[in-house]
Order: sequence, then C-alpha cells, then structure tokens
Amino acid sequence: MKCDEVGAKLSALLDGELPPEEEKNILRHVKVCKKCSTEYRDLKNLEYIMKKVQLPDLPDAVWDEHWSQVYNRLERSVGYVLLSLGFIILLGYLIFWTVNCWFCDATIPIIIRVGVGLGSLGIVILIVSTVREKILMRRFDQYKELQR
Amino acid sequence: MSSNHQSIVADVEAAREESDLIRRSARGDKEAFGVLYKLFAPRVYGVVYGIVMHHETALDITQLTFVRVWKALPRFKQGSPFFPWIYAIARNRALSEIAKRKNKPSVLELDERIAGEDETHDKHVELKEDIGRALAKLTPEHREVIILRHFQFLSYQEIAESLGCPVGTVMSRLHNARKAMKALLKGWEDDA
Repeated sequence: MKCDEVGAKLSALLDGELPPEEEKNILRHVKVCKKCSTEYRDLKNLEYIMKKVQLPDLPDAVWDEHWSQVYNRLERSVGYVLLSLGFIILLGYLIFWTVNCWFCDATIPIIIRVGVGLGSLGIVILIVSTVREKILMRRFDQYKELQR
Repeated sequence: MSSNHQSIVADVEAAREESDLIRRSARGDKEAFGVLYKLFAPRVYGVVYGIVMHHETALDITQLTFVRVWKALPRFKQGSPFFPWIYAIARNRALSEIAKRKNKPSVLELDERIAGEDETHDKHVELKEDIGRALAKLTPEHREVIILRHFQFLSYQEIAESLGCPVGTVMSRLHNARKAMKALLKGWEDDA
C-alpha cells in the first residue's frame, strides 16, 4: 500500500470508521511508514486536545423561554389555518349566493348588474394582486417565521 | 448485570422513548414536541453557533428550525437518526447567514471540559482560546464537520445524511479540516 492510497483513511482509522479488513491494511502500513505514522500520531494528538473543550451551553431557563415562543408560534399557525378555512367557505357561499340571487335577478336593471359585476371583479383582481405580492415578498424574507 | 449491558439497555430505552416522542409529535402532540425540543434544541444551537459564531443569530436560527421541524415531522422517516435530519434543516440557513456576514468573529467561544492532571487552569483556558481561534479561522464547511464529529460525536454516515453528501466526501473533508486545525494548533500538538 502506498501513502497516496492512505490519505483521508487515516482520519477514518482514528474514528473507527473503516471496515475491519481495510483497518488492518492501513494499520500495517502505518507501522512501517514513518510519514503516515507521524500524521496518524498528529491526528491522535489533535483529538486528545479537542476532548478538553466543548461547545457552549445555555441555562435551562433560556430554553424554557425559547420553547414558549416556539409554542406560541405553532399554536398561532393552527389559528391561521382555521381562520383561512372559515373565510374560504364563507367567500364561496357569498359568490354562489351573489351569482344565483343577484346577477340572475331580472328585476334589477342590467346596467346596475354590469356595474356591480365589473366593480366586484376589480376588487377581486386587486386582492389577488396584493396577496400575490405579499407571498412573493415573504418568500425572500429570511426572518419571516421568526418571533422576536 | 455489567455496566456495559446497563448502558446498552439505557441507550435502547432512550431510543424507544425518542421514537415515541417523534411519533406523537408528528400526530400533532405539542407536549411531546416540547420534550423533543428540550432534548435537541441545545444540540442544534451548539452546532449552529459553531458555524455562525454569534449567539443571538444561533438562537434565532434554532427557533426557525424547530418551527420548520414541526411542519415537516409527518414526512420524517421513522427509525432514521433524528438529529442529522433536524440539522439538515438548520444548516442551509446557518451557512447562508455566515456567508452574508462581513465582520466574522475572530474566535469561537468554547467551554472547558476536562483538564489534564498535569495542566494548570491558565493553560487550559489558553488552550480553549487557541482552539476557538483556530476553529474561527477554518472555512464554515470545515468548522461544521469538525463540530459534528468532535463535539456532537456523529458517525460518518450521520454526518453524510446531515450534509447531504457521500460518506467519502465526509471522510476527506474531515481529514482536510483536521490537517488545517493541526497546522493552526502547532504548538499545542507538541505538548499533547
């Protein structure tokens, strides 16, 4: 086995991540190769000193407070879904009722029906356009889900 | 009963409890999700802090990650490791955050774990600061892989799942990261 073939496998050897057969081959090479044995020893030393430190931890109180913010956020999202569903049902019924009872009512002059119809269409277009703009803006806002 | 056997039994129990919490959370049980949160949020925070090197930003990203985890939980494949899955959700935001940042911190804050018998407190503090400075000098990708291996003790397979890359890539990236650390901590390695 050549040193080039060993390379990153020295790290895997240190971490016990090699299959048994390969581990044996690499160990055999490390025993006879000065360059690789020095590199392996350096890796072991690095692991030794890294064991003396750890990532910082925060007190439990921080996580309790943090969780309550996440919880509120989750709870609110259920509220938004229910509100939207209710709104969609009501809107659907309103459209059905308007078309059925109002636009088809021959007793109302056609000019009024056309005027109200165009006005309603305009309002729908404005709402759709505004909602679409908001959605597009939200997509690029990295902190949209953040509750501060 | 040997202590080894007891530790295996405890690990199995913990895994069973964890998978029960995941299942309940996926069904909408917020109480179970709260327990999961308290188990995993500090770990997610730790790794994200290791990448962005800023406490407030790391907390913000942790919060966003768990809101996403809640929404994505029904799609989680039961039985697969949970932490790599959560971390995969957190990492894109963490990496894009550090890429945006103009003034990168020059040191990563760390805590002391264990001191060698022959080591003074001052020397241990100095070592901690030097490791923090060395980690801060690495690329975010190298720092990430060092943190996942050395501080979160993930296997190569778990790291690969977290990063969405092959195990071979993890192996070479970790090796290169260690070589960079080794060069940055030259004096300390000789002392080890």
